[in-house]
Amino acid sequence: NLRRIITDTDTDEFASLTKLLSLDEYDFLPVKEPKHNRSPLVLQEHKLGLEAWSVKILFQYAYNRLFAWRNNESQSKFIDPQELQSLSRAVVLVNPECSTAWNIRKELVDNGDLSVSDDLRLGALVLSKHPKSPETFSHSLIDQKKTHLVIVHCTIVVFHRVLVAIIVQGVGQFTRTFVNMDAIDINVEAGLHNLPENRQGLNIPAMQNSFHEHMQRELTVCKCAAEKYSCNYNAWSHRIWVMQNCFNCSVQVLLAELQSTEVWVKKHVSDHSGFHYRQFLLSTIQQSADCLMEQFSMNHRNLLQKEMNLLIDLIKTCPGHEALWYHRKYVFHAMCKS
Amino acid sequence: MLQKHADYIAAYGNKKDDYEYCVTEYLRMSGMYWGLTVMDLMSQLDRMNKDEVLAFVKQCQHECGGLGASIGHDPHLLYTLSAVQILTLYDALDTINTEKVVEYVSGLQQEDGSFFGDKWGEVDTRFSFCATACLALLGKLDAIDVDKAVEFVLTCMNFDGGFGCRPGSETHSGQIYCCVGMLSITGRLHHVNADLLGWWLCERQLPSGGLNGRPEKLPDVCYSWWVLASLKVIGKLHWIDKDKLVQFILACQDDETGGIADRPGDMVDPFHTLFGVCGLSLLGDDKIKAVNPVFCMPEEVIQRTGVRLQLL
Amino acid sequence: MKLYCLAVLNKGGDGKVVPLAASHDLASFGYFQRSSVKEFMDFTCKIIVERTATSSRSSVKEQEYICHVYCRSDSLAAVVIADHDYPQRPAHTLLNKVLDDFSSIVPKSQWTPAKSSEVQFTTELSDYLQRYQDPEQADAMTKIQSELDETKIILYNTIDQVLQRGEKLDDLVVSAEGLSMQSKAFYKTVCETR
Ligand SMILES: CC(C)=CCC/C(C)=C/CC/C(C)=C/CC/C(C)=C/COP(=O)(O)OP(=O)(O)O
Repeated sequence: NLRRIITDTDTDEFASLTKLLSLDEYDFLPVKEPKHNRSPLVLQEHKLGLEAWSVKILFQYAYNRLFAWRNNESQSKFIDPQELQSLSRAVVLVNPECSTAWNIRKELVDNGDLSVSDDLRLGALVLSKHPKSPETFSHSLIDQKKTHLVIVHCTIVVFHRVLVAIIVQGVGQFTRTFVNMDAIDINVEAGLHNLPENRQGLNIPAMQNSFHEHMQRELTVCKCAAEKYSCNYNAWSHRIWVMQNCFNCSVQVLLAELQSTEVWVKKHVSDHSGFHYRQFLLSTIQQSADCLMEQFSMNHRNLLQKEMNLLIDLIKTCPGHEALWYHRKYVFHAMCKS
Repeated sequence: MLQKHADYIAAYGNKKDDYEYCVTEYLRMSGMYWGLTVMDLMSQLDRMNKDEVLAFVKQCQHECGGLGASIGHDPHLLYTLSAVQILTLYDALDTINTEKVVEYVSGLQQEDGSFFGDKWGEVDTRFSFCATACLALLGKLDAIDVDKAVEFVLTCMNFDGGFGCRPGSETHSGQIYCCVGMLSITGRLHHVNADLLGWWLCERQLPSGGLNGRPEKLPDVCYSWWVLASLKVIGKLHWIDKDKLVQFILACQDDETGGIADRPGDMVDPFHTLFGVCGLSLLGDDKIKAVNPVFCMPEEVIQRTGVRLQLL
Repeated sequence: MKLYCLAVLNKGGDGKVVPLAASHDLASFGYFQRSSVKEFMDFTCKIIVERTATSSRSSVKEQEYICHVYCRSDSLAAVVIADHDYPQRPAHTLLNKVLDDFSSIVPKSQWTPAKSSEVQFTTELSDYLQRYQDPEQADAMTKIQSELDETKIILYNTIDQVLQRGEKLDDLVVSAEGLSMQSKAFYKTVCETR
């Protein structure tokens, strides 16, 4: 039965973990004892609940089998990629820190046995329960680095995961302020020669078109991630990385980010990570002051002044927040420099 | 109380509840380093099973030279450093192939001076520390481009004097420890603005006496190490209220079972036990051996290796 | 910055507390936890009002949450549960408004415990809960200072400080009638993993 729960793709009467890919959330349920002849999995409205008593048992089964294979133990030499995928999935859902399990998935992706988008979807799901898991962020980052094409594809996805991670306001706000993708300077073709064999022949325009779909889906997933863990260091660092490496720190994107994160920081006045992200944006924009003037007729000093005004209001409305004063220190420092 | 902490650590390795064991196996090597180091600091290293430990470490080395957290786990700089630290404690570096370790570590350096954590390519200043610390303990710092490595770490410095995990990332006490430690090992501390950084660090102390890792976060005993050790390296240890911090650390002890937790009343674990004890050592507790603020190992061990560090 | 729960309760002369109406915003909680979280919020509102003196205000911190309470002299009480980012003054202004509104809409005859099932005020409450999510937009900001001056707000750092001598939260949870078995199990696991 354990095996069926973890790996079965085609049984209906027995709920299995493979269904997770169509889900947007999972959680452990405080049920200590197994009930007679019932699967420990509860499926409701695209959410999966795993009864507590079964977590340990399922995990140990998957973990032991996966590592027996990794260690080349005689009885588990031959496990097919499909099952490896299932086992590693079961392991990271419970224990996302287990980086070797994530690595096994990376190898499956490299060998063409697992699609990047399925893998990222699992990442998103894991973040719904473990919103700060560093290994999960690092894994997505590496997924992105793999090929340039995949970079464009995934970053959009991951970027939105993290973006959503900060836009609690929801879809409306997001679509209004988000940048025009076509205007961003990313050269999709440039990285094509780096593609491993089995990736060539992908339909690039189609992938570009699916960006927006991905954004919308990831949006919902990650909204929860940020709500669940404030000052999410890994999420915000990741987002900075994406800005630098996938959006070439384009001034247009940075300005859009500055606008879209304003609502968020107003609602999270004690979240220093959110304010630091704005510090990153402001500093980076400052470095392209000429471009800011020429293309957007904006002056960096004015941006800083606006930031200071925002802070003055916030400090008045929400007294006693260290994060606001730290941010003020930055803005003051930047004003002195400019 | 120290005796109880030692008993707690000595017993920890024995109770191998299967589940507990599985879910923590991904960091086993570091876990061992925490346990062994804290035992050594309390002068009770001889209670641990040396042969078993050395045999384990040996089995974790991969062909590429790097070490994993446990047998069958993939190699990574984090666990390679822990392994080298364990072997240094036992003065038993010849247990593994150290030439291959040097090859592994230096192979992870990138053109910009940064380090990958493993072959998959995540970059973080933590890995810059792991790489330099590891090579320093092996006496092989010349195997990497030190100037470049320093250059990269400096690109992660922020306007507040602190450091983040990558260029542009937020300042964090843990990352500061890594960067300051790395600059100490390489003798480049003059790049640090000690007044500015010291100010940010000592602002981490809260009314309870405990330290946090970033503004508006809860205090945590592990920051008694990351923050305090950094302050020690830059010569500003006296900027915090020592008595209140001692009180906080002591309040995190479990009087019955031994061990130290992140905060008063929480569950104890070896990680926080090590950093609590190390904090007390830096604060001058004379029943604990002096701890080295960069390597987080007994000072006498570091003296024996002959590794030289810069302190301000 | 978030408001999770807004409730009106009746505190009789005998100290007995009966919930009259409540509204919740639980979207940020895990799907499987929502029903338990709701029960716990209602439970918390009740025990805090029970232990708050008539004609007084307090704000009680409990982990990531903070409960603002106002017990009026006419036996009505209101509670709002918020996170720590939500500023205190607008929260208490909200309580004022809610109770003013309640007493003008709901006839006094329905305030008594026996008739509590007849109270129709939930729509108004959920309106308030949504509108006040953003304290700036909730028009009141400018008026706050003058409106609140009469009563001092007492601040408690944990629920334990509100409880009477010898009382323990764990025991109250065990004996609580309003909590289902599932919620009690949930509470226990949360405590164990802490
Ligand atoms: C030799 C020794 C002792 C260590 C080896 C070197 C390493 C790996 C040091 C780690 C330093 C450290 C703690 C870095 C911080 C990583 C980080 C950004 C953590 C943020 O995670 P949260 O869980 O949000 O932590 P806080 O909430 O406490 O900020």
